[in-house]
Amino acid sequence: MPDWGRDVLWHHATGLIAPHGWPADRVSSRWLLPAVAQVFDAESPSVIRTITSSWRLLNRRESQQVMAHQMLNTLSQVARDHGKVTTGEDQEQADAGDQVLYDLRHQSTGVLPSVRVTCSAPSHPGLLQARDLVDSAMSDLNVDGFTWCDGRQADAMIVSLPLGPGLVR
Amino acid sequence: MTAPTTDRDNSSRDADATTPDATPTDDDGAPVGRRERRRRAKQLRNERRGHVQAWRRQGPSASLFGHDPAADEPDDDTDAGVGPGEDDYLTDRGQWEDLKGPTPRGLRRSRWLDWLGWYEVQDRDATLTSTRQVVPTNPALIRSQPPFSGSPVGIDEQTGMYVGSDQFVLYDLDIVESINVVIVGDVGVAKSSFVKNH
Repeated sequence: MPDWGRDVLWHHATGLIAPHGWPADRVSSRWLLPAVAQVFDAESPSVIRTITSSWRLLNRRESQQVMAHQMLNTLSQVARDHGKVTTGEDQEQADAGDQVLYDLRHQSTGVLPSVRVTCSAPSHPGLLQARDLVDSAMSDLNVDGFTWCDGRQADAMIVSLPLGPGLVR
Repeated sequence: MTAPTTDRDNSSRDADATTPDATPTDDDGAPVGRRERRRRAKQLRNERRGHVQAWRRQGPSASLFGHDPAADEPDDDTDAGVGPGEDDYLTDRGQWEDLKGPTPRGLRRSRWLDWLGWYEVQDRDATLTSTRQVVPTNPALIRSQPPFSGSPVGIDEQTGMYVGSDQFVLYDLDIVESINVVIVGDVGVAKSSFVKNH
Protein backbone atom coordinates (compact mmCIF):
# COMPACT_ATOMS: atom_id res chain seq x y z
CA MET A 1 0.00 0.00 0.00
CA PRO A 2 1.30 3.48 -0.75
CA ASP A 3 1.92 5.84 2.06
CA TRP A 4 -1.12 8.08 1.82
CA GLY A 5 0.32 10.42 4.47
CA ARG A 6 2.75 11.97 2.02
CA ASP A 7 2.61 13.14 -1.53
CA VAL A 8 3.12 10.42 -4.12
CA LEU A 9 3.96 11.04 -7.74
CA TRP A 10 1.59 8.96 -9.80
CA HIS A 11 2.27 7.86 -13.32
CA HIS A 12 -0.56 7.38 -15.79
CA ALA A 13 -0.88 5.68 -19.15
CA THR A 14 -3.97 5.51 -21.33
CA GLY A 15 -4.62 3.33 -24.31
CA LEU A 16 -7.51 2.47 -26.55
CA ILE A 17 -8.60 -0.22 -28.92
CA ALA A 18 -7.55 0.86 -32.38
CA PRO A 19 -10.19 0.95 -35.11
CA HIS A 20 -8.57 -2.02 -36.79
CA GLY A 21 -8.07 -3.92 -33.56
CA TRP A 22 -11.57 -4.97 -32.67
CA PRO A 23 -12.31 -8.69 -32.63
CA ALA A 24 -13.35 -9.85 -36.05
CA ASP A 25 -15.56 -12.65 -34.84
CA ARG A 26 -18.55 -12.60 -32.54
CA VAL A 27 -18.01 -12.08 -28.82
CA SER A 28 -20.05 -13.05 -25.81
CA SER A 29 -21.84 -10.71 -23.45
CA ARG A 30 -19.03 -11.09 -20.90
CA TRP A 31 -16.39 -10.17 -23.40
CA LEU A 32 -14.78 -7.51 -21.18
CA LEU A 33 -14.39 -9.90 -18.27
CA PRO A 34 -10.63 -10.50 -18.61
CA ALA A 35 -9.93 -6.77 -18.77
CA VAL A 36 -12.24 -5.70 -15.97
CA ALA A 37 -12.11 -8.51 -13.46
CA GLN A 38 -8.71 -10.05 -14.04
CA VAL A 39 -6.66 -9.70 -10.89
CA PHE A 40 -3.39 -7.89 -11.35
CA ASP A 41 -0.87 -10.13 -9.68
CA ALA A 42 1.80 -7.46 -9.99
CA GLU A 43 4.32 -6.82 -7.29
CA SER A 44 3.01 -3.30 -6.90
CA PRO A 45 -0.57 -3.82 -5.76
CA SER A 46 -1.40 -0.12 -5.81
CA VAL A 47 -1.91 -0.05 -9.55
CA ILE A 48 -5.28 1.48 -10.40
CA ARG A 49 -6.97 0.42 -13.59
CA THR A 50 -9.82 2.35 -15.15
CA ILE A 51 -11.85 0.86 -17.98
CA THR A 52 -13.92 3.37 -19.90
CA SER A 53 -16.39 2.30 -22.51
CA SER A 54 -18.15 5.03 -24.43
CA TRP A 55 -20.71 4.85 -27.18
CA ARG A 56 -21.07 7.59 -29.73
CA LEU A 57 -24.59 7.35 -31.06
CA LEU A 58 -25.36 8.11 -34.66
CA ASN A 59 -28.72 8.70 -36.17
CA ARG A 60 -30.23 5.84 -38.07
CA ARG A 61 -29.84 7.30 -41.54
CA GLU A 62 -26.19 8.14 -41.05
CA SER A 63 -25.44 4.80 -39.44
CA GLN A 64 -27.10 2.95 -42.31
CA GLN A 65 -24.94 4.83 -44.77
CA VAL A 66 -21.76 4.10 -42.84
CA MET A 67 -22.71 0.47 -42.41
CA ALA A 68 -23.48 0.08 -46.09
CA HIS A 69 -20.04 1.50 -46.83
CA GLN A 70 -18.43 -0.96 -44.45
CA MET A 71 -20.38 -3.81 -45.99
CA LEU A 72 -19.22 -2.77 -49.44
CA ASN A 73 -15.59 -2.93 -48.33
CA THR A 74 -16.07 -6.25 -46.61
CA LEU A 75 -17.91 -7.88 -49.48
CA SER A 76 -15.29 -6.56 -51.90
CA GLN A 77 -12.66 -8.24 -49.79
CA VAL A 78 -14.68 -11.45 -49.78
CA ALA A 79 -15.09 -11.33 -53.56
CA ARG A 80 -11.38 -10.64 -54.01
CA ASP A 81 -10.47 -13.65 -51.87
CA HIS A 82 -12.87 -15.94 -53.71
CA GLY A 83 -11.21 -19.26 -54.38
CA LYS A 84 -8.47 -18.71 -51.83
CA VAL A 85 -8.03 -20.47 -48.53
CA THR A 86 -8.64 -17.85 -45.86
CA THR A 87 -9.33 -17.78 -42.17
CA GLY A 88 -12.94 -16.81 -42.82
CA GLU A 89 -12.81 -13.55 -40.90
CA ASP A 90 -14.04 -11.52 -43.84
CA GLN A 91 -17.06 -13.75 -44.28
CA GLU A 92 -17.68 -13.53 -40.53
CA GLN A 93 -17.56 -9.75 -40.74
CA ALA A 94 -19.97 -9.80 -43.65
CA ASP A 95 -22.40 -11.90 -41.64
CA ALA A 96 -22.04 -9.58 -38.65
CA GLY A 97 -22.65 -6.62 -40.95
CA ASP A 98 -25.87 -8.21 -42.15
CA GLN A 99 -26.93 -8.60 -38.54
CA VAL A 100 -26.14 -4.95 -37.79
CA LEU A 101 -28.05 -3.80 -40.84
CA TYR A 102 -30.98 -5.90 -39.67
CA ASP A 103 -30.73 -4.24 -36.25
CA LEU A 104 -30.62 -0.79 -37.82
CA ARG A 105 -33.85 -1.54 -39.62
CA HIS A 106 -35.53 -2.73 -36.43
CA GLN A 107 -35.48 -0.32 -33.49
CA SER A 108 -31.73 0.06 -33.17
CA THR A 109 -29.37 2.84 -34.02
CA GLY A 110 -25.73 3.02 -34.93
CA VAL A 111 -22.99 3.19 -32.34
CA LEU A 112 -19.32 3.94 -32.61
CA PRO A 113 -17.94 2.13 -29.58
CA SER A 114 -14.65 2.90 -27.90
CA VAL A 115 -12.92 1.18 -25.02
CA ARG A 116 -10.11 2.93 -23.19
CA VAL A 117 -7.92 1.73 -20.37
CA THR A 118 -6.05 4.01 -17.99
CA CYS A 119 -3.39 2.61 -15.69
CA SER A 120 -2.12 4.60 -12.74
CA ALA A 121 0.83 3.56 -10.63
CA PRO A 122 2.93 5.34 -8.02
CA SER A 123 6.15 4.33 -9.74
CA HIS A 124 7.40 4.15 -13.27
CA PRO A 125 8.36 0.44 -13.14
CA GLY A 126 4.93 -0.30 -11.72
CA LEU A 127 3.32 1.53 -14.59
CA LEU A 128 5.35 -0.40 -17.15
CA GLN A 129 4.36 -3.64 -15.46
CA ALA A 130 0.70 -2.61 -15.50
CA ARG A 131 0.95 -1.83 -19.20
CA ASP A 132 2.27 -5.32 -19.87
CA LEU A 133 -0.62 -6.80 -17.91
CA VAL A 134 -3.13 -4.76 -19.87
CA ASP A 135 -1.55 -5.90 -23.11
CA SER A 136 -1.86 -9.51 -22.03
CA ALA A 137 -5.48 -8.93 -21.00
CA MET A 138 -6.21 -7.46 -24.42
CA SER A 139 -4.84 -10.57 -26.07
CA ASP A 140 -7.33 -12.54 -23.95
CA LEU A 141 -10.05 -10.28 -25.36
CA ASN A 142 -9.00 -11.26 -28.89
CA VAL A 143 -8.10 -7.63 -29.52
CA ASP A 144 -5.43 -7.37 -32.18
CA GLY A 145 -4.66 -3.68 -31.94
CA PHE A 146 -4.49 -2.00 -28.58
CA THR A 147 -2.73 1.34 -28.92
CA TRP A 148 -1.20 3.33 -26.11
CA CYS A 149 -1.69 7.06 -26.59
CA ASP A 150 1.98 7.86 -26.11
CA GLY A 151 2.62 11.46 -27.00
CA ARG A 152 -0.91 12.57 -26.16
CA GLN A 153 -1.31 11.07 -22.73
CA ALA A 154 -2.77 14.24 -21.20
CA ASP A 155 -5.58 14.45 -23.75
CA ALA A 156 -6.18 10.73 -23.62
CA MET A 157 -6.47 10.66 -19.85
CA ILE A 158 -8.94 13.54 -19.83
CA VAL A 159 -11.12 11.73 -22.33
CA SER A 160 -10.79 8.44 -20.50
CA LEU A 161 -11.71 9.62 -17.04
CA PRO A 162 -15.40 10.03 -16.23
CA LEU A 163 -15.42 13.81 -16.02
CA GLY A 164 -13.56 14.27 -19.26
CA PRO A 165 -16.06 13.39 -22.00
CA GLY A 166 -17.76 16.51 -23.23
CA LEU A 167 -14.81 18.79 -22.73
CA VAL A 168 -13.07 20.09 -25.79
CA ARG A 169 -9.62 21.31 -26.39
CA MET B 1 -34.20 69.46 -12.84
CA THR B 2 -35.71 70.54 -16.09
CA ALA B 3 -33.42 73.35 -16.99
CA PRO B 4 -33.36 74.31 -20.67
CA THR B 5 -30.44 72.91 -22.62
CA THR B 6 -28.10 75.37 -24.18
CA ASP B 7 -24.81 75.12 -25.94
CA ARG B 8 -23.14 76.64 -22.97
CA ASP B 9 -24.46 73.81 -20.75
CA ASN B 10 -23.19 71.13 -23.14
CA SER B 11 -19.77 72.67 -23.33
CA SER B 12 -19.55 72.72 -19.58
CA ARG B 13 -20.54 69.05 -19.43
CA ASP B 14 -17.89 68.20 -22.03
CA ALA B 15 -15.35 69.68 -19.75
CA ASP B 16 -16.63 67.57 -16.88
CA ALA B 17 -16.70 64.38 -18.98
CA THR B 18 -12.92 64.16 -19.31
CA THR B 19 -12.84 61.80 -16.36
CA PRO B 20 -13.47 58.13 -17.36
CA ASP B 21 -16.21 57.55 -14.82
CA ALA B 22 -18.31 60.50 -15.88
CA THR B 23 -21.42 59.74 -17.93
CA PRO B 24 -22.46 62.95 -19.68
CA THR B 25 -26.13 62.67 -20.38
CA ASP B 26 -28.78 65.26 -20.54
CA ASP B 27 -31.37 65.34 -17.88
CA ASP B 28 -34.22 65.51 -20.37
CA GLY B 29 -32.67 62.96 -22.78
CA ALA B 30 -31.78 65.51 -25.41
CA PRO B 31 -28.87 64.68 -27.76
CA VAL B 32 -25.48 65.81 -26.59
CA GLY B 33 -23.04 67.82 -28.56
CA ARG B 34 -21.14 66.68 -31.63
CA ARG B 35 -17.85 66.40 -29.80
CA GLU B 36 -19.40 64.19 -27.16
CA ARG B 37 -21.00 61.95 -29.79
CA ARG B 38 -17.67 61.55 -31.53
CA ARG B 39 -15.99 60.66 -28.27
CA ARG B 40 -18.62 58.03 -27.47
CA ALA B 41 -18.45 56.56 -30.95
CA LYS B 42 -14.69 56.31 -30.72
CA GLN B 43 -14.90 54.68 -27.33
CA LEU B 44 -17.46 52.13 -28.59
CA ARG B 45 -15.34 51.44 -31.64
CA ASN B 46 -12.26 50.79 -29.52
CA GLU B 47 -14.19 48.45 -27.24
CA ARG B 48 -15.41 46.41 -30.21
CA ARG B 49 -11.90 46.29 -31.60
CA GLY B 50 -10.66 44.97 -28.28
CA HIS B 51 -13.27 42.21 -28.34
CA VAL B 52 -12.31 41.19 -31.86
CA GLN B 53 -8.62 41.10 -30.98
CA ALA B 54 -9.34 38.98 -27.92
CA TRP B 55 -11.26 36.50 -30.09
CA ARG B 56 -8.55 36.35 -32.71
CA ARG B 57 -5.87 35.89 -30.10
CA GLN B 58 -7.49 32.62 -29.00
CA GLY B 59 -6.98 31.13 -32.42
CA PRO B 60 -9.11 28.46 -34.09
CA SER B 61 -8.66 26.03 -31.23
CA ALA B 62 -9.98 28.16 -28.44
CA SER B 63 -9.41 26.24 -25.26
CA LEU B 64 -11.36 26.19 -22.07
CA PHE B 65 -8.09 25.60 -20.31
CA GLY B 66 -5.98 28.05 -22.26
CA HIS B 67 -4.58 31.25 -20.97
CA ASP B 68 -6.92 34.07 -20.22
CA PRO B 69 -6.59 36.59 -23.04
CA ALA B 70 -7.71 39.31 -20.71
CA ALA B 71 -5.18 38.40 -18.08
CA ASP B 72 -2.11 39.30 -20.11
CA GLU B 73 -3.42 42.73 -20.94
CA PRO B 74 -2.07 45.38 -18.62
CA ASP B 75 -4.64 47.56 -16.99
CA ASP B 76 -3.31 50.72 -18.53
CA ASP B 77 -4.10 49.42 -22.02
CA THR B 78 -7.78 49.68 -21.33
CA ASP B 79 -7.43 53.42 -21.39
CA ALA B 80 -6.36 53.21 -25.00
CA GLY B 81 -9.40 51.11 -25.81
CA VAL B 82 -7.52 48.24 -27.47
CA GLY B 83 -7.69 45.69 -24.67
CA PRO B 84 -10.68 43.88 -23.22
CA GLY B 85 -11.81 44.43 -19.72
CA GLU B 86 -11.56 41.96 -16.91
CA ASP B 87 -14.96 40.42 -17.56
CA ASP B 88 -14.57 40.22 -21.31
CA TYR B 89 -13.09 36.72 -21.20
CA LEU B 90 -16.15 35.15 -19.66
CA THR B 91 -18.40 37.26 -21.81
CA ASP B 92 -16.49 36.15 -24.86
CA ARG B 93 -16.74 32.45 -24.05
CA GLY B 94 -20.37 32.78 -23.19
CA GLN B 95 -22.19 31.18 -20.33
CA TRP B 96 -24.45 29.22 -22.66
CA GLU B 97 -27.50 30.28 -20.80
CA ASP B 98 -29.47 30.33 -24.02
CA LEU B 99 -29.31 26.72 -25.15
CA LYS B 100 -31.10 27.53 -28.38
CA GLY B 101 -28.62 30.24 -29.27
CA PRO B 102 -25.34 29.85 -31.07
CA THR B 103 -22.66 27.67 -29.54
CA PRO B 104 -20.17 29.70 -27.52
CA ARG B 105 -16.80 30.12 -29.14
CA GLY B 106 -15.00 27.93 -26.63
CA LEU B 107 -17.30 25.02 -27.42
CA ARG B 108 -17.32 25.34 -31.19
CA ARG B 109 -15.43 22.84 -33.28
CA SER B 110 -13.74 23.29 -36.56
CA ARG B 111 -14.88 20.45 -38.77
CA TRP B 112 -11.44 20.05 -40.29
CA LEU B 113 -9.64 19.96 -36.93
CA ASP B 114 -12.29 17.62 -35.58
CA TRP B 115 -11.63 15.28 -38.50
CA LEU B 116 -7.94 15.38 -37.68
CA GLY B 117 -8.66 14.36 -34.11
CA TRP B 118 -7.41 17.61 -32.62
CA TYR B 119 -10.08 18.05 -29.99
CA GLU B 120 -9.93 14.60 -28.50
CA VAL B 121 -8.41 11.22 -29.08
CA GLN B 122 -11.30 10.08 -31.15
CA ASP B 123 -12.03 6.78 -32.75
CA ARG B 124 -12.03 7.61 -36.40
CA ASP B 125 -13.06 4.86 -38.76
CA ALA B 126 -14.13 2.75 -35.83
CA THR B 127 -16.25 -0.23 -36.50
CA LEU B 128 -19.88 0.72 -36.56
CA THR B 129 -22.27 -1.50 -34.75
CA SER B 130 -25.75 -1.28 -33.37
CA THR B 131 -27.06 -0.63 -29.90
CA ARG B 132 -28.13 -4.25 -29.71
CA GLN B 133 -24.68 -5.61 -30.52
CA VAL B 134 -22.63 -3.16 -28.45
CA VAL B 135 -23.80 -4.51 -25.10
CA PRO B 136 -20.60 -6.56 -24.48
CA THR B 137 -18.62 -3.33 -24.16
CA ASN B 138 -20.59 -2.41 -21.05
CA PRO B 139 -18.32 -3.05 -18.05
CA ALA B 140 -21.30 -3.05 -15.69
CA LEU B 141 -22.26 -6.50 -16.93
CA ILE B 142 -19.20 -7.97 -15.29
CA ARG B 143 -19.92 -9.37 -11.85
CA SER B 144 -19.27 -12.57 -10.06
CA GLN B 145 -21.76 -15.30 -10.89
CA PRO B 146 -23.05 -16.35 -8.43
CA PRO B 147 -22.18 -13.79 -5.76
CA PHE B 148 -19.35 -14.77 -3.48
CA SER B 149 -20.54 -16.57 -0.37
CA GLY B 150 -19.14 -18.97 2.18
CA SER B 151 -15.55 -20.09 2.09
CA PRO B 152 -13.48 -19.91 -1.06
CA VAL B 153 -13.67 -23.14 -3.00
CA GLY B 154 -11.46 -22.33 -5.93
CA ILE B 155 -9.98 -19.74 -8.27
CA ASP B 156 -11.54 -18.67 -11.53
CA GLU B 157 -9.06 -19.47 -14.26
CA GLN B 158 -10.22 -16.60 -16.42
CA THR B 159 -10.24 -13.81 -13.87
CA GLY B 160 -8.05 -15.09 -11.04
CA MET B 161 -10.80 -14.24 -8.54
CA TYR B 162 -11.73 -16.47 -5.65
CA VAL B 163 -14.94 -18.39 -6.14
CA GLY B 164 -17.22 -19.10 -3.21
CA SER B 165 -20.65 -20.67 -3.42
CA ASP B 166 -22.33 -21.72 -0.20
CA GLN B 167 -25.73 -23.28 -0.87
CA PHE B 168 -27.14 -22.29 2.52
CA VAL B 169 -26.21 -18.62 2.06
CA LEU B 170 -27.60 -18.62 -1.46
CA TYR B 171 -30.80 -20.23 -0.19
CA ASP B 172 -31.04 -17.59 2.51
CA LEU B 173 -30.63 -14.88 -0.12
CA ASP B 174 -33.43 -16.45 -2.20
CA ILE B 175 -31.03 -16.97 -5.08
CA VAL B 176 -31.57 -20.72 -5.19
CA GLU B 177 -34.71 -22.62 -4.23
CA SER B 178 -33.01 -25.78 -3.03
CA ILE B 179 -29.92 -26.55 -0.99
CA ASN B 180 -29.17 -29.70 -2.91
CA VAL B 181 -25.74 -29.76 -4.54
CA VAL B 182 -24.42 -31.86 -7.39
CA ILE B 183 -20.66 -32.36 -7.66
CA VAL B 184 -19.44 -33.70 -10.97
CA GLY B 185 -15.87 -34.70 -11.70
CA ASP B 186 -13.58 -37.38 -12.99
CA VAL B 187 -12.20 -40.19 -10.87
CA GLY B 188 -9.58 -39.06 -8.39
CA VAL B 189 -10.16 -35.30 -8.52
CA ALA B 190 -10.99 -35.07 -4.78
CA LYS B 191 -14.75 -34.80 -4.95
CA SER B 192 -15.21 -36.47 -1.58
CA SER B 193 -12.46 -34.35 -0.02
CA PHE B 194 -14.20 -31.26 -1.31
CA VAL B 195 -17.47 -32.32 0.28
CA LYS B 196 -15.80 -33.12 3.61
CA ASN B 197 -13.98 -29.78 3.72
CA HIS B 198 -16.95 -27.66 2.77
